[in-house]
Amino acid sequence: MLSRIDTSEREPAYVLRGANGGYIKLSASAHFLLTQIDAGATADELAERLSRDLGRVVTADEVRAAHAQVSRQVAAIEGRTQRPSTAGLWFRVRCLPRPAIDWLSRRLSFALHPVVVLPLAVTMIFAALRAAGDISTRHRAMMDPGSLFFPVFALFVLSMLMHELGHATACARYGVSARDIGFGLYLIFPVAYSDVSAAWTLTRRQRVAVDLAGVYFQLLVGLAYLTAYRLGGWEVFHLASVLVFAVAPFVLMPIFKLDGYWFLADLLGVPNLYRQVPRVFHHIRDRVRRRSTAALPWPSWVSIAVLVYGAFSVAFLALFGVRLAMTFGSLAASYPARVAGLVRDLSLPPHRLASGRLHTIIGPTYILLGVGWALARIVRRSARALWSRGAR
Amino acid sequence: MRRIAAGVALALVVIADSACQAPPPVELAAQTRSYTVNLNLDAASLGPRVATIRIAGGEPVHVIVASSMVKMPMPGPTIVASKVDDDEYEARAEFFTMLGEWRLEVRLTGQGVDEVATFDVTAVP
Repeated sequence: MLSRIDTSEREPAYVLRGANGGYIKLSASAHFLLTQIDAGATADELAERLSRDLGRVVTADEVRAAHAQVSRQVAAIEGRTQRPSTAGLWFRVRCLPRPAIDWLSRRLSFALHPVVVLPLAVTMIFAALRAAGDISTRHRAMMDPGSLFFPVFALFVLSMLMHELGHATACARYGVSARDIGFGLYLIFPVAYSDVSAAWTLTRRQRVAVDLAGVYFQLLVGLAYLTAYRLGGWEVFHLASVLVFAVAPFVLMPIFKLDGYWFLADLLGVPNLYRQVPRVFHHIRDRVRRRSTAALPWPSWVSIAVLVYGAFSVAFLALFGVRLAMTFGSLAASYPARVAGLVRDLSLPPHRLASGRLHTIIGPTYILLGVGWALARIVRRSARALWSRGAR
Repeated sequence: MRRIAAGVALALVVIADSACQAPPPVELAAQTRSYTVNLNLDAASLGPRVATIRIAGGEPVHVIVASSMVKMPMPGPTIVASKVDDDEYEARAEFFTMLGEWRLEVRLTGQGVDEVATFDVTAVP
């Protein structure tokens, strides 16, 4: 199924929905070929028309070859039965099926009405600023919540589910459905996800609303927690609200494929933003070297924004990689001593864990296993790529 | 399979060896306007610790030991040290609840003057 996609490209672009529910972007020329041939135009007629439009000779054989290639690609895409991956998740578990999401989304859509959004957004900003102050005063409780750990964690997970329901509700408001909601692993981070691929058929403005609706819903939950704390004085709600408000800026960061990334991509009207960064770099490199290069498809301000985003991403990821490598090294070096501390606590009187002992083990174990596993995958993929290149 | 078993066995030996070697005691000294303060910690590590404080240059009324993390607002306990000898005081508490840099303050009150001796300690596992 073909639909128009709203981008900032000068020429219209289209998306093709495969049988497995995945969406693939098609160029205007590919769409033109498919629709014209389907409508009964012959290769000769199209060749004549393209030659006239492009100002160069296009033969009927070239048209047939191009159509055959596009048809093959479309057939391959439409024939895929495997569920498409959700934004780089390598592990996922579905929590809410589509009927439940549709039911909940319909009932929550009032929260996205502008009359409701405006006062709530203002209240949330004040609450978030207040929570920012609480992060420093509640730091100790946040780092070592003791018996409150599991209740706070459960409340936070609930807020993450509401976050995903926010995306689904925004989709429902604009007439499309989220496929499912669940939990998964992105890189080494546990995340909640919602499959809102159908949003590709929405306008850019609507997609931006879908992107922001998740954080909006999560902050609403944070606000509800804060209200519960103010009314009842329950510390667990206070810690959960501080956690929710602290996570929001991280989710809006445009580097990893979190909400901030999709927000920026939709705001700029550049699908597959990550992949467009090298394209802009190559274009500029060719221009500097005075080589012929195809014009970029977007207005110049969008190209500049993609370039700035690319430079920022590269710098950030380089720093992140260096920091991660250093952390990995120091954690690996200190890990035996950390486990030894745990063994010492349990084997020597009073045979109980020291305060903060589990913190020194759980986080590092998670990081070491996660990064180690990710490194193993990268090495295996690189080795395979090198092997196949060598074989060619 | 044998290699994995050997690796696991080696890791267990390293951990057991580390577990047997408790972190060493720490001896630090600081000078306030009136006192010379020597702080001896049985170990700069997590868990119940014993801080022994020797004070020269006078006898304060109260000796209080407080800990806090250097790089984040994370306070530890504040303990009134008990006198165990003429110039020696002792405080027992879990001063460190995270790994990293901590600041121990020995607050000395007496004769209307409050003075603080500060010690920077790195908590290890």
